[in-house]
Amino acid sequence: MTWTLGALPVLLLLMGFPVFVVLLTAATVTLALYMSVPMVALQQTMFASVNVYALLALPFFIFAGEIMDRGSIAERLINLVRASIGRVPGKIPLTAVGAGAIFGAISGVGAASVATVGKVMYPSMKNAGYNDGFSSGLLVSVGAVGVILPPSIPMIIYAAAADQSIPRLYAAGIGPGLLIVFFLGLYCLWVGRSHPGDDTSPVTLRHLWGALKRGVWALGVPVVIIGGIYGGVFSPTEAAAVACLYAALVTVVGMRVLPLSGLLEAAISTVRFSAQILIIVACAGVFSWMITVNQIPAQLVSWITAADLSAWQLLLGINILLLLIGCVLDPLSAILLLTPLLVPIITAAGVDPVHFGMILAFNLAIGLFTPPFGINIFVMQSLFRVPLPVIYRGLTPFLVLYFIALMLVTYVPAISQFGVDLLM
Amino acid sequence: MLSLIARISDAIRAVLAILLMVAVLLCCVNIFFRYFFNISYLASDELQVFAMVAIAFLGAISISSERQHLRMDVLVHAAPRSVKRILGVFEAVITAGAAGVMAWASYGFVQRIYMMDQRSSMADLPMWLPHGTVLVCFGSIALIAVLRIPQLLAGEGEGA
Repeated sequence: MTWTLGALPVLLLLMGFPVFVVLLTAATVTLALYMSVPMVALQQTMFASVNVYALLALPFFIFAGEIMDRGSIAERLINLVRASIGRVPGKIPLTAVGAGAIFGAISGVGAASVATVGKVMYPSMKNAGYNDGFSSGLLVSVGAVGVILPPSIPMIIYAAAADQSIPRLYAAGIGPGLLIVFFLGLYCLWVGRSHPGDDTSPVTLRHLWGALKRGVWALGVPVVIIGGIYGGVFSPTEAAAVACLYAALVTVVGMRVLPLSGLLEAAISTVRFSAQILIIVACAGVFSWMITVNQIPAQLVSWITAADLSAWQLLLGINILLLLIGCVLDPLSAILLLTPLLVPIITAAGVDPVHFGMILAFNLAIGLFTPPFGINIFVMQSLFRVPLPVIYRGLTPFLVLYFIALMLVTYVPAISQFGVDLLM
Repeated sequence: MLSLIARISDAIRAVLAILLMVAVLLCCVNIFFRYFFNISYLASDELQVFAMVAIAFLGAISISSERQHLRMDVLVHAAPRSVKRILGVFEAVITAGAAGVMAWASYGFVQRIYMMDQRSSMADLPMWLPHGTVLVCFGSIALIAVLRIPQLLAGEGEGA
């Protein structure tokens, strides 16, 4: 049976089959060959995997992000961040870090942040004398912060797959997200010292007020989401729906930058993206049920226990595995494939599943920009025609920073716990 | 036939987009009434989830039609064209088989709950409707995969 739930899916995955076909094939073959369960169990389990209220947050958050992406929110955010940074070295890359983190967080999708923030910030960084390697490396890596900071879409998927609370996971993402933003900011300050061509304008009240007037509505989205959830006003799903309504009102009625047809286009795009993910969620539910009833996680736990690995060795091994998988598989598919296998193992080792959610998200965020196949790299290359070797070279210092932050997040649970203690 | 399926799935996607907007509005209206009038429409959550179920399964038809499913294709990209073609045919056959089995399993279940007239607990919606989206989804995906096989054998396109 191990081959149908282990070797077969790996083989089909390597052959480039769609992830949902991989999971469905493994499940149907196992059911047909080794189990005496009626076929209707497939339907019931699959339907139950998607018939989950908490999962509604996924299409709703994607919709909110789509509306904001089409409504020039990023440009307003960039102006606001830039206007609020004083006369410091590396002001332009610092602006990219701040705007990338905020936009990545509210859109929840890394590649969208690279494209949207990059369109404005990449020409500015080039004009200020920053080389292509540094500029592209920064924009590609800061785009991954959205996977870690709330409201992250991979966190919703992890919460559904691991049966964990979305508000707890969101709260836990604040510490690791701010940590990597801090690291990136420090590096930009250091690099900026040798770039006198950078913007040296001071903060002026008039400039700041103008930017605030144009950008304040954009900042309302995270306030609505975080304030709504942790103020006890909404559930995460309701917060996502309110974020959609808010974004639609701001861009269509308030700022008048998005026509009604743009709203429909955003909804169509949301349906496409949501269906891509939800069909995998449905098939992963069946796959997960198969491996659970066949006691595969229990067997894995007993092997790991027999190997007598300590928690730190186990986490190191899992980090290496996740980094490798993150290089070739998108974060959402990776979460759905690995969560049912890894959560029982880490729970047996005494690791909090919420803390593990942060480790998982951090690893998969790194996977978004790890050479050679990180999706953010290809967004950068296709939008700005930067040669791949230049991007790879430019990414090196940012990968080092992310690895250091990953080790801290892995071995200092207090970094994840900080947000939970603060908000819950 | 494939182009007809593509047109139908485009239309389904537009309907699903409107359904998504309705679900958002339903959720927001429910929050508004809960806080300002102390009234809750109990069927709201159920209807929103069924809308998501429809997006998941009916939306997957257009994803299949456009070959936009998520996959790990970095290794296959590097393969020669002939290997890609063989893998494409193999993928179409496996997809048709797995989706066909799923559609068959779904048909049995949907038929049973239709006969029993099973209804949802809050909205009193016939349950064969949301469950039927699974049947339509995998039936269509199997059909798309079968129709692609002759194309792939003739050397047109890649994968299912």
